[in-house]
Amino acid sequence: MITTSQDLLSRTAPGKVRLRIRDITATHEAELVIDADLRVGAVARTVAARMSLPADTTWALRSDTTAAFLDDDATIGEAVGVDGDTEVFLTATPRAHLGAG
Amino acid sequence: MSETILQQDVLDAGLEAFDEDWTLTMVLRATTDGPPLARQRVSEADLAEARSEAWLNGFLRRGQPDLPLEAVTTRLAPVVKKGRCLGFVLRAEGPGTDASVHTFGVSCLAPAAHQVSKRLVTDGLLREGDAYVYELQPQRAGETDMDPLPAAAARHDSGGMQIKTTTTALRYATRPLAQLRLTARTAGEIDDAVLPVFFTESAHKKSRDFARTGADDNPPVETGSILIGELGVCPDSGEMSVTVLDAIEVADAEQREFSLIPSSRTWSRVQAVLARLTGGDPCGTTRLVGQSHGHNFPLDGEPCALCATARECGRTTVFVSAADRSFMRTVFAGQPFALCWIAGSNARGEEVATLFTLRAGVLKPRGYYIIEDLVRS
Repeated sequence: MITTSQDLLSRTAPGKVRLRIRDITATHEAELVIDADLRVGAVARTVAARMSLPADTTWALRSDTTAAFLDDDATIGEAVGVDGDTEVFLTATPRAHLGAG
Repeated sequence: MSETILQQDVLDAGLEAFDEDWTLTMVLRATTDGPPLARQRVSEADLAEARSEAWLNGFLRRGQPDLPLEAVTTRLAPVVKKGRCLGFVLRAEGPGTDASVHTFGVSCLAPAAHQVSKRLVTDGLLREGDAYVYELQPQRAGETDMDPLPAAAARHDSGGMQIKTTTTALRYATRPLAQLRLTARTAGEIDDAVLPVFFTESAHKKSRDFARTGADDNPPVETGSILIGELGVCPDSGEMSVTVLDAIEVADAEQREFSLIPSSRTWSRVQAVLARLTGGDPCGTTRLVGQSHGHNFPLDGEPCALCATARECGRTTVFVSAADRSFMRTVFAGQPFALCWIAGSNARGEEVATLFTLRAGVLKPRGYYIIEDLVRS
């Protein structure tokens, strides 16, 4: 179900990156075209909020290509290493653990 | 501070309360009669899990499995008895359907209280591990003098980003419940009022084995699995069900005595295995449905005086910790049917395990069925 009617740019402008982010269970998905100089941590927080994921935890972005977590302090452009029309697939992952402690 | 809410309490509180707009404020204290350490408005995010449970029980389990969560509207009314707020009631409505009413106790907001307590520890008003109590105070709209929560405001600020969000529709296998139950054996006490849950024999064994792997280490460590399964809908009753078909080990994780921390490689592997199982079919029914893990540490102390006479030992390492709760709320956000299966041991040294699912906003123990392996649809 589309929860916002805002259309994305048909073509990514210079200095922008195009992302497709899903949560771990692939229940929620977000398509973004954003400035490449935004910090990864800020992107993760905003996307988690827009996906209605709990705000009281830390969300990280994980590359579906390399499987590695992106550095929260890096810019999203540096972290994904592409600029322009290439769509990058990421997973929003909570910094959560199991266990009695 | 938790107290069971009786149906009569809800009626006494008056369902006309739904005609007004209410907010709830959480008040934290170190002791019941101590001064307030924090007051925080209960946010939409704090209520998200309760709303999703109202969706599950009011619609998905009542013949409307395809109704999306976003189509359900809820109104909140407090349940107050003798001047104390015992919790709240959500009245849920969907398009063209009768409203349903769902009751939640104060304890369903324990995760929100835990977050407030962490802030108090940071501010030096509580020490790590200190006990605290909390209560709810209801206000009619316009009565509260509290500022909006920054977290709530931030939820709507996208910082100028262009974002389009979608939610994947739930997909179901057709699973006649009477047929599934015919040859099933049970684990724990079955309550027909809760969502039916089935494990196949092989998935149950794998869930248990992965959870207990760390029990053999010295010292024991926590291990576990992510549960793979499907949602089912019964063609006869319209009731929904969850069937666990497989379990993927939480591999490449940090295994400690009291915690199990998945890494990026853990999640990558889970997604790869899931993709293999589904064959990349976006319309398939196979999905992540929960987790199993072991609280494999031994219980402290000697067996109690009842040990020689009691049929069962109730002192166990099996409980839902704050970390377990947080994991379920975040990894399975908006999925009130998700399963939390925990293994451990009791004071007699016997192995025990319990399945927990959401009930009135709290992960509570419940029984389930174990069935022969199914041929995947």
